Amino acid sequence: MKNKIDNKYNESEEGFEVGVVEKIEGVYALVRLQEHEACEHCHAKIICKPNQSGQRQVKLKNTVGAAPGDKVVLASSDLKHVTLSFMQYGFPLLGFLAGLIISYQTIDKFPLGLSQQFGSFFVGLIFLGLFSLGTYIWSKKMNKNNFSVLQISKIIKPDH
Amino acid sequence: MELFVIFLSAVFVNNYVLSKFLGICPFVGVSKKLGPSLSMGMATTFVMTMAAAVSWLIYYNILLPNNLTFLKIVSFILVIASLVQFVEMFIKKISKPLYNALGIYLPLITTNCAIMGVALFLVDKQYNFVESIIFGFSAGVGFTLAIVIMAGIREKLELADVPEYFKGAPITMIVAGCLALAFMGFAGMI
Repeated sequence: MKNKIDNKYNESEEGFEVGVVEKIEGVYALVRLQEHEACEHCHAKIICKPNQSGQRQVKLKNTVGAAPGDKVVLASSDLKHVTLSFMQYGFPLLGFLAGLIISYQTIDKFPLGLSQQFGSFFVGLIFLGLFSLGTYIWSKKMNKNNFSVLQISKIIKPDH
Repeated sequence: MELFVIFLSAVFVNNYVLSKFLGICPFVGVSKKLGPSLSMGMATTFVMTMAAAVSWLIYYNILLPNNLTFLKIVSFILVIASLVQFVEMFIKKISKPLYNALGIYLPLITTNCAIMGVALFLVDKQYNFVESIIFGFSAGVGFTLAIVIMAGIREKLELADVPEYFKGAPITMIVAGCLALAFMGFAGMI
């Protein structure tokens, strides 16, 4: 496998992560991600807690032929981002809207004396749960295939 | 027809970011790349729709009958914050990989004033239940549209020969201004 080595990488480049390959497991590489310096100055770090779980590790397909100890650049794929976002937010939201609007338009009297608004809201929540179940099954399947938004894009030369 | 008008109005004419200038922080902060900006937009749409539904129910079933409407801001803040926390816990539980990849956007939404704006506007405009939900959803779609357009332009700007003094925040503000001007063209459509 031809190694993709790049020394023109600018560490301030946005939208990328830098990590160090810790271990190679077959076609996969275990990469330890570096903490973002930007987090140090961000007020939202109280909420996000970037250092809470210590150092982050990801298992990614070794597409550039990296070896243990190599510093690598991880780029995120837009298409994967869109797919993940849709499955996480869009799909359950569609379920909620479908359940709520259909029940609001079709059911006049809800059990337990619930008003039409509360009743349709609860039906919407039930649909939200069902569609989230679909997301859960999908994510389990993706987890088996080590699906990740990140992918190793290049190796940074050691002198950089 | 009424619902369609609400949708068009919230997406184009009264776009929350470009016409009302709400939610500027994530609009500028998460619009550097197309993928994350779309994720942020979808997460915001999700929370806006849910917040619109819950806020309507609380306002018309608890606050208004008990003459507690002066508590609407406090109640809506509580609703939005707890809703976001609940959604975060739920996503963490049902899909850990998705949470690890995109969960970061949820806490940031808590501080998005556009969500609060939706809750307050739907009460002011006296929308019914379904209209409120469509309004919340449309406002989210409008936010997504604005942030995605901005991200697309900023990705192109990375390759453009921008004068040194305009690089970074200044050019971003100029682009946001041009976008707002462009969206002013929709005024009067509805």
